Amino acid sequence: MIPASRAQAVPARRDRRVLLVCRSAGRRTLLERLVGGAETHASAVEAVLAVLRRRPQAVVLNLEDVEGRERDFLAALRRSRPEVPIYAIAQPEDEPLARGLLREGAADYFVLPTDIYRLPRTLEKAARSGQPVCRTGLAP
Amino acid sequence: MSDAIQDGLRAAGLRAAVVSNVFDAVVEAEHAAQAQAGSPARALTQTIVCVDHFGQQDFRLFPLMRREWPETLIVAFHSPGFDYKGRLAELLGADVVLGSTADVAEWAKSLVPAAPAAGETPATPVEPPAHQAPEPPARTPSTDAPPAAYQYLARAPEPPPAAADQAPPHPTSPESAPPPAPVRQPPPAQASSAAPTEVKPAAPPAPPSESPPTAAPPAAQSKTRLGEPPADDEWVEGNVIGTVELTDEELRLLLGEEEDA
Repeated sequence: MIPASRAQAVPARRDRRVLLVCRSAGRRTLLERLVGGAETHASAVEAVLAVLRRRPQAVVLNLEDVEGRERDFLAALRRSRPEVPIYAIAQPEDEPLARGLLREGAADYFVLPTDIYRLPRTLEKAARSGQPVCRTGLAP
Repeated sequence: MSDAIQDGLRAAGLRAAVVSNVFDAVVEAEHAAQAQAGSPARALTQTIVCVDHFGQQDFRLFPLMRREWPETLIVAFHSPGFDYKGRLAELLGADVVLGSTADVAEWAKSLVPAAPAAGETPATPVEPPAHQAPEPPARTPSTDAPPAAYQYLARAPEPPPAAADQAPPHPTSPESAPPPAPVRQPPPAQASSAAPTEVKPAAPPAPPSESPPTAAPPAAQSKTRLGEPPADDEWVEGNVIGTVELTDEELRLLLGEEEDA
C-alpha cells in the first residue's frame, strides 16, 4: 500500500470532473488524493450511466474492479463518449492487459505502485490542451 | 440461453433490442429514457436480463435499473443449472425470474394483450398501424429501444371473430393463452401507451364470408376450422417434439379393436 501522504494532491478545479471507477477503499483514497475533483463510483455500470448523463473530462478505471469486463466497459464508453479519454490503473501483472486496452481505445495506463504518480500530470496536461495525453508510441 | 428468450419473443411477434453486456444495457436504457421524453410510446417497458454468466459487478445492474427506471419491469432469466443466480437477481430487484423455456413461453404469452371487450373504445391510435408494421427483425443488436406499443403492434393483427374461429389454435393467441404469469403490470401511463390500439374489439359475429386481414401471417391464415382435421399439407406445420412408436398390440388397444381369441 502506498501511503497517501506520498501522493501529491491535486487541487480540485470546478471546471474539471474526472470520473473514477474504483471499489477498493485504500486505493480509492489514494486515487482521490491524486486526482483532484474526482467523482468516484464503486460500480462500473454506475460509472457508465454517469458518463452518459454528463461528459467528464476523463475516466480513470481501476482494472481490478471490472472483473474481466474491461473491454466491454471501454467499448461502451468509446461508443457513447468517444471524446472522453479513458485511463487504466493496473497491477504489474495486469500490464499486458492494460497494454491491450490501448489498442482498443484507452488513452493510457498507469502501473501500480510507482507509475501511478504520472496520473495527475497527465490529467493536468490533458485538461490544459483539451486533448487526451497518450503514452508515447503506444497511443491508439 | 438468450436464444430461448428471443425465440419466445419472436413467437409472440414482439420486438426487442439485444445487447451483449450490462454496460450496453445501461446505454440502451438511457437512450430509451431520453427518447421517451419526446415520445412516451418509446418507453422501455421491460428489460430481460440473462444472468447465467453474470459476475458480481454485473448484478449491480439490477439496483441501478430499479433506482433509475422504476417503471421498467425487470425480468431475470437463468438456465436450469443457475437457480442461485436467479435468486440473486430476485434479491437485487428483479420483478420476474424465469428459469426455463416453458416459463419464457408463458411469460411471452402474458405480454400479448387480450382483445378489448365488446363496446370498449380503443385507446389512442398509435402509428404505424398493425397492417403496416414491419416484420420483427432478426437477432441483430439494435440501438433503438423497442417501444412497447410498437412491440404489440408488430404482432400479427387479431382476425375478426368470424375468422378467429377459422384459425387453428395459436400458441400466442390470447384466447388460447392460459392465465397470465405473475407479471407486474406496468403503471397506468405505460399501460395506456402499450394498449393494443389496433386490435379490433369484439364485435357481433361477422358473416362467414368475411376474410381475415390480408396482412395476417401464414399462421393466421390457416384454412382449417376448429374441430376439423387439418389438410394433409398442414400436418407438417409446427415443431415435432417427439414421436411414439406403438407395438401392434398397443395399436389395437388404442384403436379399440378386440384381440382375436
